[in-house]
Amino acid sequence: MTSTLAVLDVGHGSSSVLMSDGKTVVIDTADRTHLLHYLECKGIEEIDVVIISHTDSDHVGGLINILANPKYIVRHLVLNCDSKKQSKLWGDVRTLVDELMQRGALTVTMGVSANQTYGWANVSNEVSIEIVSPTPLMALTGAGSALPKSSKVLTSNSVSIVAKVIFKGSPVALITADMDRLALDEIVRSECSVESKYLVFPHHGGLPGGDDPAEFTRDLLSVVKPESIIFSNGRGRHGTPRVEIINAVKACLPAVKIACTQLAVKCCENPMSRDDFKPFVYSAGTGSHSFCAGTIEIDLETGLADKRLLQAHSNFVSGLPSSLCSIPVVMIPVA
Amino acid sequence: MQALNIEGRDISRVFLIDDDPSVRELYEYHLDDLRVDTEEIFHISGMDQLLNASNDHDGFVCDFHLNNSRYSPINGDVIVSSLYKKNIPAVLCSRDVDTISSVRRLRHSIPCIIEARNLNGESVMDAFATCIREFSGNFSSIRRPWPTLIRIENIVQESPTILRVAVVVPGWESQSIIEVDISKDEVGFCSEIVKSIKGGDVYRCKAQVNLDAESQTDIYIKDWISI
Repeated sequence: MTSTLAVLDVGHGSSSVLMSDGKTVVIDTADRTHLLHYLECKGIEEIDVVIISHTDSDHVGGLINILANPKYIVRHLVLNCDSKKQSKLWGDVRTLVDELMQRGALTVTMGVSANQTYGWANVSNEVSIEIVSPTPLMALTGAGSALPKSSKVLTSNSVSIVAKVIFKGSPVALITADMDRLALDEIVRSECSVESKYLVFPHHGGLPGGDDPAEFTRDLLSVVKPESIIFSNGRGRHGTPRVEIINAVKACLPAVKIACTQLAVKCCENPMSRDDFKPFVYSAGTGSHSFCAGTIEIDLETGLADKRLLQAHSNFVSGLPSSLCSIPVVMIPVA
Repeated sequence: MQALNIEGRDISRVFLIDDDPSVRELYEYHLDDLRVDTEEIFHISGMDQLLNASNDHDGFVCDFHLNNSRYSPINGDVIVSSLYKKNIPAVLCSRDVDTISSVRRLRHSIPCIIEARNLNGESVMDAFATCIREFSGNFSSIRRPWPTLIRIENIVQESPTILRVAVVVPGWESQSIIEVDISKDEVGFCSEIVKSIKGGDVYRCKAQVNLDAESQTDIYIKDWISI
């Protein structure tokens, strides 16, 4: 594999790692040491770009451990200033970023939005990243204020950076962080294309910010048109993915392939021994038998994850007593 | 009696430390199934006495509260930590978990704390094995140190030698407050911490923390450095 996208099993939280032609891009860092363990497992100590979608600890917490660790080099950081939530946590990030910038060890792009051109987004000759949200209007408004002609205040989830991964000109994956209904409406209004083969579902399959989850799911899928959906969820945390979201997915796209990084409690109340399969790379749920697909690494050339992982996941899901997705999971190639 | 081979090291004698003779006897009873020599320590004059009396084939079981000053001038956490730093396996016995906050300053060199009711041959063997593995740099995931940022939010108590602070380790749990003692001799920027907190700010620095610890009782913080 020369170009891969890994959606990490970090429990509840988000982190994806894009690798192409010797370059490494991290989109969200989850919390704790999950990303560090994955990087260690892959032998990566230099990260060209880290994109932080927003300031929730399950997306940014791990950045602190990367930036504070002299073993790791982060060359460029992309983020949107958002001090609305967890301001002390944001202050922690700011302290480390400032220290590295003072030493000339880190450069930062702040205030990114859709419809802009960024040099760091060209990862390699084959792979690029397009920011599709927040729209410039949302970025200008910022968390804590309402968009024009709207009474709903943007939250830090609303202004999450949503990134589309493009391989040889074709969209492969939409990584949505915690985007909500306000962000979706803005994406639709701006007529920005978000079609993608893979959808990393927003907010780990949790509530979409006050909107009806089923309606939000239907509207999201109608614009993304994914062939596969990944939920980056934590077993036993917040009950994700929600049943009404999975049901809406199945109703809208009966043939779509679904994979959760961890086994939802609703699918199986008790953790099941997974002696049949052990993830090849770091997955947070390995030790506790709480992974479902675990960390999913996608070869961008073929659009496929490892066949053994897919087969093991498919077998596992089909053997569950009350699987929510209940669809054999076999990721199909990117055309 | 025999020697136990634990992680490649022969342990042939276990010293028992408690200021209460009946508790030392209880330790001896609990370790009977190990079939190694046990030796009670009847009085402690200082660490030198213990280090001079022991060798590579010894282990220690040591109570935390050695309150009777006629028995020992130092508490169990200091003893176990000092032994660990000399690569001698030792386990700290604690009858109450409240000791954890005060022990945290030395927790990085106290791998295992066993409640007295859980003390037996197997638990002591496991604790010694953990110590011996760590002596060669082999840490379990929950004990492995990682560099990270520390946010000091409050000063709980101050003495001429110790600053007890309330900290958050945001790279571990951004919502959990942890109390830890900082030695003013070991951390050179205590006055800056005090100045910052008394000025109404938090104080941020770096340290090594076992970030994969599962519970707050297992967390240690060491090697503090200013930013």
